[in-house]
Amino acid sequence: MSQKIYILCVEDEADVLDVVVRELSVLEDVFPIETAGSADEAREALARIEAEGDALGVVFCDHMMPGENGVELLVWMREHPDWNVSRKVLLTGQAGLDATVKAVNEAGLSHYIAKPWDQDELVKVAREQLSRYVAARKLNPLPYLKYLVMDIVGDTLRANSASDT
Amino acid sequence: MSDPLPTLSTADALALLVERARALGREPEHVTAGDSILNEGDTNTSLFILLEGTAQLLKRTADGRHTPVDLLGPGSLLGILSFWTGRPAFSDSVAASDLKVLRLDLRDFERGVAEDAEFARVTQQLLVANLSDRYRRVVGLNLKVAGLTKELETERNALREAVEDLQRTRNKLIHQEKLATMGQLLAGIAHEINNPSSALMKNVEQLTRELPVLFAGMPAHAGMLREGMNAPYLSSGEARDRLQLLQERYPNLSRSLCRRLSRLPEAAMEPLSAALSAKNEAELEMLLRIFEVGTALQSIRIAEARMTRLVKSLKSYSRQEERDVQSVRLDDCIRDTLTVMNHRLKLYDLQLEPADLPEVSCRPGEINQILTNLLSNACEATPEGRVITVRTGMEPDAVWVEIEDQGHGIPEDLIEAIFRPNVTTKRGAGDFGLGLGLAISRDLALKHHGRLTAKNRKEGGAVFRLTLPTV
Repeated sequence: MSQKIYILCVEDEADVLDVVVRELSVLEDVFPIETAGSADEAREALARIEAEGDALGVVFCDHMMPGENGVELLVWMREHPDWNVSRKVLLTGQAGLDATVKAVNEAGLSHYIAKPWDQDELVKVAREQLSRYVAARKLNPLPYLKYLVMDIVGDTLRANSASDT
Repeated sequence: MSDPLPTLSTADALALLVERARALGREPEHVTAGDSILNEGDTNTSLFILLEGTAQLLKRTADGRHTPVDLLGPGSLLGILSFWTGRPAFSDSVAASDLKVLRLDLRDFERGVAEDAEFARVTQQLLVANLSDRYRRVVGLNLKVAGLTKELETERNALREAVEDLQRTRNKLIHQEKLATMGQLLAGIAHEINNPSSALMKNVEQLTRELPVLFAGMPAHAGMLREGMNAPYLSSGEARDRLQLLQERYPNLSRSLCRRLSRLPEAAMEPLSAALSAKNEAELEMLLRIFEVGTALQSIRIAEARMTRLVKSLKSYSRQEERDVQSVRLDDCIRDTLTVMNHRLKLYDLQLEPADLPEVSCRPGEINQILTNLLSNACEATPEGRVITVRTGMEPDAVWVEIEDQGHGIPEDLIEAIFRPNVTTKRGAGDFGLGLGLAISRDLALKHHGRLTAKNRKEGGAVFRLTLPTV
């Protein structure tokens, strides 16, 4: 069985977290979802994923949270070899200019979604980012193909098919 | 060596001079009040000795006006400078009253001095008296100028202070105006949210009432709806444990299906277990969806309750236009302020240490303004994630609230100064950038016959205490 690629949702308000997970769960038959209510819980979730030998494809992260804020978590992930390549999305209504600049410059932010968001947009961003993750790691896209964006993984797919034959 | 001659009185000296001048062929002349004796700038060859009446000296100013500079009485010499130096007359001389003067020209003068010892003596005395008199007046004038300069300086300082005071007052007014505008804005927003929020509430109530009726003939479905509406809150840790348990129990089910099931309390699993064992996917999906409609209703109710609380706090927080003193609990002011500032405060570890307090008479809007300012300062001073403490307590005839932060504290030499306008320890522009927050807060505290004080904690950080009288 190939490596599982997770989606991680970090959000301190349980109601909002529920909605994010519900909307992303349309991808869950391929990309399992992990949840966290804070930066610390996110690290625990990452430790579990790592312990299983799995990977993190994309994190959707709120910014304004009690304790460590979202951008700080993303910066930490950027500096961590296991999560460096994972795609990072801010899903927030309250990141000011300074925090956003820091996220782009220091956390390698991949995408920014402002609250309130649209489900189609959310799922589209998730699929694009997961595709970029697969392409960046040059993984065989076949197990995940159902939700990948062909424009992004096409080259990787051809390269893999070539090596298969 | 002869003895110095005795000095004559002015009257005697003038009488003597008139007498001796007669020998030179000079008689006293009459000048009518208002007539000119000398004009500034004219060439003058005569010396006028004032015998009776008063003469006015006038000097022309840069803009052409004639300014009185001196009043001269009997014994004074007019044209003294132009007569001896040959330069144009230094000032106008005008008869302020009817005058009697003795006019001498240079030839008369030289003859008199050369031939008549008495004439020489009396003119010398008059000259010395005139010169020393003028000198004394110059010294007097200098002293007067010095006095005036000092007075002017004092007045200028007072004026400068008044201007600064005015500026401070203006800044305060602007600040107050901003806050008042913000208060109106808040009240407006609260009002605008209130209507859709009430509509939302009414509709949710209707759905909560009507949906069970629709499922009346289907007890299993009605049960799922009820479970959904009352589903207990699970922390993210609990939700994960439950998800893991269900994944182990039903290894064939997908993770997302297990996640949906994990919201159900164990007691509500029974109807689902039946559908699961019968592999009746349609029924399972139907039951889950009804359960989720129930949880959605619950979520809306919770969100709606939050909105109602927020609107209530916004309204009572922003009642700044209410000038009337009310009897309120300090806790209510604190609660409203904390609610309004929740988005900032949730980044800190907020510790509440409330005491049981009696009501105080105050203007709640102004107390909220003080609390907002203190909390806002505490947020700026404290690193995110650290403790901010809000503590209340009592002393005889007074209640107090303390806001304690874990910042760098206040430099000891500034501990009183920070309550003055335009003094700030913040590097960036924090609030409205005027450094007025604490000055205004203290003013408001004093207006309530209360106190606002600051001190540093031994452990680091600052404590601000607002004390309000209860009587």
